[in-house]
Amino acid sequence: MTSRAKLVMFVTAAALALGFAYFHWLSRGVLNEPAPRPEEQARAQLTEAALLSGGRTAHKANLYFPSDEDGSLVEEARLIAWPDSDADRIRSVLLALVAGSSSGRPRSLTASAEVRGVFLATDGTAYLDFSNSAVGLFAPGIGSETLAVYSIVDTLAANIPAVKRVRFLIQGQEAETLDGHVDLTSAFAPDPNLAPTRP
Amino acid sequence: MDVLEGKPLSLSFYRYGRPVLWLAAMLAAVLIFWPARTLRSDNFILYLPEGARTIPIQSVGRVDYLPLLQILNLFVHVDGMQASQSSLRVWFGQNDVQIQLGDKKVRVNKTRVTLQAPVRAENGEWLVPLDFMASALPQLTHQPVQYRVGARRIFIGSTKPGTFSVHLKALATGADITIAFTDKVSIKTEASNGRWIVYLGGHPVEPLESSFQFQNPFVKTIQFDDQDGVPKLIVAPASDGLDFFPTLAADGKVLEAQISKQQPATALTPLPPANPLVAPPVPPQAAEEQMPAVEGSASLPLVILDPGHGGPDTGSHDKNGVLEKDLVLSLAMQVRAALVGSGRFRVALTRSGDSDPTFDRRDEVANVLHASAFVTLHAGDFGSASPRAVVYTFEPPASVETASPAPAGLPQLISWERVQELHLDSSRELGTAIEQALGAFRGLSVPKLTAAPARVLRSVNAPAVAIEIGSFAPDTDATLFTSSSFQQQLAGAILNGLDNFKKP
Ligand SMILES: [Zn+2]
Repeated sequence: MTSRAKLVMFVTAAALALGFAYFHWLSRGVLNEPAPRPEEQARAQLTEAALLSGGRTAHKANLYFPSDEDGSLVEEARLIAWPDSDADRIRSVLLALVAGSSSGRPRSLTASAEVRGVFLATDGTAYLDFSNSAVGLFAPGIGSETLAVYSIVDTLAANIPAVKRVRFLIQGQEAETLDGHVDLTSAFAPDPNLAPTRP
Repeated sequence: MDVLEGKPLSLSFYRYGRPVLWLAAMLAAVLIFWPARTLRSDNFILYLPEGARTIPIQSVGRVDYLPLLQILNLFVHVDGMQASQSSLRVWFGQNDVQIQLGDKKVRVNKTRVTLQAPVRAENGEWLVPLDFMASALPQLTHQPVQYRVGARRIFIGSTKPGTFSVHLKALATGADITIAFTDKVSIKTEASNGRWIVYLGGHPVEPLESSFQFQNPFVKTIQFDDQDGVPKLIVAPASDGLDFFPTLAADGKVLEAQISKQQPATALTPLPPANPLVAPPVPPQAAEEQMPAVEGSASLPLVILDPGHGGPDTGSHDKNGVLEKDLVLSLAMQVRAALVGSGRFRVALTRSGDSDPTFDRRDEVANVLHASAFVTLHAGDFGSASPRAVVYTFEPPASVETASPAPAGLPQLISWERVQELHLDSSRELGTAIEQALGAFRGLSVPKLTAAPARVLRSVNAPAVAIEIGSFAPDTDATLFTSSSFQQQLAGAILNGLDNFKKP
């Protein structure tokens, strides 16, 4: 075969491959319709948008991470986006906790934790709805779960004065325990005994 | 030569290629216009002070849209409108809205608002994406708006919506559903198409989750629905022939519903003749609830040992695959041997094999057998601090005010959920005694007695502590903790602690 014929064949093959890829791309948008959880997706997108657009101001948040050595909480300051509404601020603070400690402290939420919903009731109870993955990778235990819970509760209460107590839900439902140890069936107020210490 | 050899190829392309190309173009056209046809018809609900209104949502692709003029007509009297092929301007009072076809940016009272998706026009209606409700509507209505991103409802005016949480408790012959609302509600129930419908009145409700699914033989799903503007919960039973008894408790803030098998209206079965020589038959439920064996002489104080986890709940694990449930069971066996061997204690275990009793069952064992002390054993993550043993007493989640003693002369009444709160002082004495005895164990770091909201301690009607050893986590090696010398020393220390607690 001559080089010209090879070129023509190559161009035809490339065009076919491109066409195939384009068709695949098109069909992905069409055949998967309707999206399996449009509300959830829209929520995620909107949340992201809300965090970005609402976060015009930055806020110096004090995050409380668990400390291995003495079973207490350690404070770390972090600049985070600060939206206008308290519910969005709760999300913003939780995302900062999910991002983890900058000095290698243990996590209170796994890196893959997903905040499915946040609701701040008028009586100051913040309802936090986490995905299963929030607890899945967590190293369970009485001590570690207690610190994880109060890391979240104390951090939220310290940064958002409207939050008086926190009620944890997992996959939208009341859970008996976080991961086999700590009782999640009632709301938590910040624990003064774990009074955070500065490193 | 090159040209000649190339020709047949290009000829065949022209002969067959063109029809194929046309076909592909038509296919592409069909695909491109496809998404516009997948319009679904869910409703968007607006809760206004005077009642709820619905507007049909038009979903185009993955974006939900609402017709702009229908929204505005709910709130205002439109003074004027200027529409062209590609843009629309509407004004009323001091307000105006300008939108452009295919543009995400809209002008609301002269300020620019960027929406999540471009404006569309469909069947002569101007459509704006759902987030218009949150980002533009408040500026137009001059009223507070409560909107949770992504939700398909909005609350307008000063009333703040409440929410609710759902808890299902499985029973042998049914299920108990508890739905706790943040605000007082009123209910009206009806049965329809084999499902139970609980209409919610009183206070507007914003669900965190619209559907709850259960792996339960009696209840399949509980669904929140307000698509027709009437908020309700739809409870779908998992089978036929079940009864549903809903009641409102806690001053209208808690909906308690029992689901149980229908009681067949059969004639009363004649009672067997009383025979004092034969032991009464054991009711079927009591058979499952038989108490574990108690070892030791009846006059001795009874210690309940509770190895954590079990069965499908393996607890944590170390890097070699040692499971917490196995480690704590072998530890409990050593403690049992030490206590029974001393001749100073009676012992019962909440599990002696690989079963997984519920937390309530573990506590029930202690309460029914009238335990003098309850010790639950766990292994957990302490990071770099190892080997370590931490003793915990129960601490109610900080928001629950502790049970106050009953007025003089009245019996102390307390719910099963909070019974440990009556024993916090004696639990601390037990915890301190064990913590000090463990402190004598060379090489083991034992911090001061701490408190934790440990679920298993909550309903124990006796002095109760948890002992957690570690660090035991997926990145640690548990060889030390599995060794019988470590376990025997630990068991000896726990025996010493119990001895000191018994005679302070
Ligand atoms: Zn455990």
